[in-house]
Amino acid sequence: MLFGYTWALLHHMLGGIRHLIWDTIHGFEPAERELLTLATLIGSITLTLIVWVVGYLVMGGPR
Amino acid sequence: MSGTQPMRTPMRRVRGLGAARSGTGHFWHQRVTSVAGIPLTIGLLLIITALLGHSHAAVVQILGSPIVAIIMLLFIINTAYHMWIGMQEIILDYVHEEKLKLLSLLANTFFVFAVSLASIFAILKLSFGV
Repeated sequence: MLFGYTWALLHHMLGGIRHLIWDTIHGFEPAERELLTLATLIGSITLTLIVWVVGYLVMGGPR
Repeated sequence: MSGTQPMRTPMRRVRGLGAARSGTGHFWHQRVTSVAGIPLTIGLLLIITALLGHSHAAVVQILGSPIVAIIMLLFIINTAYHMWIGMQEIILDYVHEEKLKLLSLLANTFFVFAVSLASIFAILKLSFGV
């Protein structure tokens, strides 16, 4: 449950940062758009895994 | 000057209109809450992972401590408002039938207040231990 929520939250956050970049009129070229989308997807999955792997390693996981 | 020429400028006529009749206020609030949401989200994830592996009593104590509770409350309020505007925007964009639109907007508002108040109540209860 929390794992899925973490991914949804981080994906939404990175997607939001993408929109904030677009608000500054940057990143509208086709290649840049593709790159930002890929970065959002890969970034959110990677960050979610990092959060939970580090969380379990440091805190010892749920008992 | 011709008699048919309107005295009002185009800006005067569009000001304060738009689908929600509130101009661009929500647009800006949505940007403010999204920027505020970045550090608050990081804070929330740090708090959640820090809770891993602790007993129930320890979790209650951590969530009830002032700094943690304040970050949680800020996250709840900021996210609830962000969610309220965002969902309203989606309803206004995609629900075209007037009655259904009104009901959806009502349901959205009720949901946001119920969920955020329940969450705030939970954090305060942990903080003040009643």
